[in-house]
Amino acid sequence: MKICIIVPSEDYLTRAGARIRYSRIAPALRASGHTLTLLPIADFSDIDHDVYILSKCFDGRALLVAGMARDKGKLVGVDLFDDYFSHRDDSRFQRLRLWLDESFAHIDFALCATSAMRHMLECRYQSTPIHVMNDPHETFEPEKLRDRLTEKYADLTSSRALHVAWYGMGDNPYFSVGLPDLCGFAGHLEALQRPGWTVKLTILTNRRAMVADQLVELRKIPVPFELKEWSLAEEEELLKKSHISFLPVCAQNFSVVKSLNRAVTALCHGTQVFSPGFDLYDRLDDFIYQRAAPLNDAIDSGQFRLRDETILKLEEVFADCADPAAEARRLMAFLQEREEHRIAASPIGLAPEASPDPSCALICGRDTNATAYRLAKRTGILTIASPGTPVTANFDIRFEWNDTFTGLNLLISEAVCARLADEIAGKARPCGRIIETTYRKLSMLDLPSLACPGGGAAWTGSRAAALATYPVEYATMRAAMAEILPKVECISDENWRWPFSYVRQTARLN
Amino acid sequence: MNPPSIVFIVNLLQDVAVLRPLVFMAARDLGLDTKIFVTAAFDKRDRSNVWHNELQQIARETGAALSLIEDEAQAFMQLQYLAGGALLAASESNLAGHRIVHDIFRTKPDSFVAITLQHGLECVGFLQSRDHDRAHGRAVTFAADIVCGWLEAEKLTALAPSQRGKLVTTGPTTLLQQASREEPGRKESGQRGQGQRGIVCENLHSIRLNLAGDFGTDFVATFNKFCSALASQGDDVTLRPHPGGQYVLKHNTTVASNVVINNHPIYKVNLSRYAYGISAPSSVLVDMVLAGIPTAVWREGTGRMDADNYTGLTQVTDEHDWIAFAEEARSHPERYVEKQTDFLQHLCMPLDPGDVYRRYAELLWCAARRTLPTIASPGRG
Repeated sequence: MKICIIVPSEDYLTRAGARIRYSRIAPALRASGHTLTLLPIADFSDIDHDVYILSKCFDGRALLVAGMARDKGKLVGVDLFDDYFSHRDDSRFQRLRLWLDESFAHIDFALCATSAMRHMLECRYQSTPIHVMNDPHETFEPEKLRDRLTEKYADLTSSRALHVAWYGMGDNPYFSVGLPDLCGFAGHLEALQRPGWTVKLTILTNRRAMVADQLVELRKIPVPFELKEWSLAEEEELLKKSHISFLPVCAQNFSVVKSLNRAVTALCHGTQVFSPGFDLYDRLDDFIYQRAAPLNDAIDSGQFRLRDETILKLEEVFADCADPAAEARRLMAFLQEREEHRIAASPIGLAPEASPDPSCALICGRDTNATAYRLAKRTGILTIASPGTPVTANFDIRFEWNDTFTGLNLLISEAVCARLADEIAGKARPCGRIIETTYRKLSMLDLPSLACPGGGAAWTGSRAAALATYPVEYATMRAAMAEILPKVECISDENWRWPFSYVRQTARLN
Repeated sequence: MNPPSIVFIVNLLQDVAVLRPLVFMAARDLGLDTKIFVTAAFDKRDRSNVWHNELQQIARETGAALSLIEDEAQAFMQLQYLAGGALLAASESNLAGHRIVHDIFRTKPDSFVAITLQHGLECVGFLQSRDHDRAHGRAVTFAADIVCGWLEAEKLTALAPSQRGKLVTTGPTTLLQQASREEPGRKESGQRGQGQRGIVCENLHSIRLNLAGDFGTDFVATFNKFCSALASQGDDVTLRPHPGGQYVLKHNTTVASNVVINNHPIYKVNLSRYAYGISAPSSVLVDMVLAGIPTAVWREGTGRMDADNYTGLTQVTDEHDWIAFAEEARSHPERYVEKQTDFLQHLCMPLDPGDVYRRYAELLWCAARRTLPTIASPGRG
């Protein structure tokens, strides 16, 4: 199978998500005759893979790719490894929740990194198969690990200096995570600072996280520390010399679905893992310290949870949750099963035929992505401007408010008019050109579904009014599209940061 | 144990002049490891590169290490490798314009003592004019551990109660500057002697000239009329733009042909060679008074501009006042100098350069000894 991972940007290819999650299984996939390609969405041009997986592309372009891939009879999935979706009372993520709802209507499967994330998704999307693909380790070499553990223990006993590492993303645009976790749980490090021992903490993190308010918090850490900017080489160097990786986890929704990758990396480099807080690493339980006391006992006795005698056991645990070959094998088994299911579900028991014409249209919203528009144009997908779309372009279809704000007018290009049923096309009156496109117009007198009750506030042009009328406006566009082009499925491209909704809320009165 | 460091943070262009004598003191006199952190914002402000060159010269002459600091994180990562000592800034407070320095102070390692200097007679958080109050409020605070004031606590009426415990009265660093006998780049020989020429300083960028009214226009108009009057007598005058504001230069303001622009750093200007000085309310008035020249404060005609902190100095308003003052100052300078002595005494400001030197030196030396108690005193080899 040829698998294509659609990623948001070129820059994303170097980030941990792509590096850990996809690049590490690629060799194992190749060895079993499959390929895995990472493709920035801006570079997408045509459907030429068997499977498409959308990764961190939360906009209309990704839905277009999904729609096109399904039209061509390909498997489509989405990979979700960060939880931006379960905070249902948080309006900042409304756009993403709507995107997820819409994407699940277009996909055959979903991937995620943990059982907790799968559970969260299953609660909402019961009918979509979900596979847990663990983040695999990069390399696990038992002999090398044995040597490193011996060296580290010798260094520890001779220097009596405990090198502790904290590494990773120090912040998140939406959640208090990273350095706040470190500061919140730093009290646990104090217990390691016993008479006769010194603790040296090294913090490796991204520059963006090092803001003044956070640096002030770092100063409260009760052990001496050094702060450095993260790089892969620095992380490698740090883990090589560290005895302990300090990986506290807080119990917020966002954190509890995180993958095991930091603990896996720490163990592969021969550090003990000290992880107070939420028990994220329960699958690696035999190798994790959640409290300082047993870790101090191990420092005194040399009987660490990760030691020469337990390496074999670690290998067995990794085979279940962090081995790249095993993860690749399980992923392919899952995809083969999905493919068979698709073939079995088609009427004649064969792979579905590619559809000759695109079966979808792109509704551009208030904050629309110009590249989504261009992608749609390039691939022959109909483009629709909603009343709030600010972009001036040659849309195939335009919705506009009528003069009395009681309904929408529908402007249809001559080319699209030719695709309409005669009965509807006959009612469309010429209404001139916008940019280079000649349109015909339908009003709610011609097409009753264009009536838009409750849209009266739109005349003010305010954002509040736009929020209030968004659902009814959207429902009207959908209804009108269903009437004039019933076989075309509409996809939304809306990146507006305000908490809009496609669904009209019913007022609750006591 | 590593030696202590004295780290100066330079963010505004005018910081250079305030901190310069202390850089020399720390590096040359006290023999301490001295560093200068220059913020990226300073680099951006110094469009002409004049101040960058000044810093280079200071670094050359003192052996201080210069480094560019992008943000507080970079400062944090550099400071963590130093043993400790003192951090000094000439403009630090919780106001937006001082943010980066404030944040560096907030996040500094405990091994450093953070010291903020009062950078002018009227200075936010220390002694404010009514325009300062209107623009910034009266609850300005510092992240510094110690704030060095020019005056005793009772005279620093804008020092917030929460900050009073931090005050150490040191006096202005201006008293430690040794002005050159000759100004660099002067090409005025053969003309009228500088001893007969006056100096006018502009700070038209200041909120003082913009908040309570458009006083800048008034100032420029009066100055131009004054220049015309001087020209008719064959006289000229020196105009000095504010080092940070540089209003006249930035706005390409046309000046009369008998105006000589002096834009050298204040520590390279020998004010005592001028016959008199005129300025809107600004710390340069104190420099003029300390230089012993007849000094007048300009106040616009409506009286809305607050110049109360300069009460005791001669006030001038329209061009007639300016001309009368210039003539009188040349003829009887002693009349003004006597009056100005009272002004200085009323300020309750340390005036003896030796005393001011000792106050600052003690502060830096204590900070160094806090890091390394066994450090040898300068002069003991």
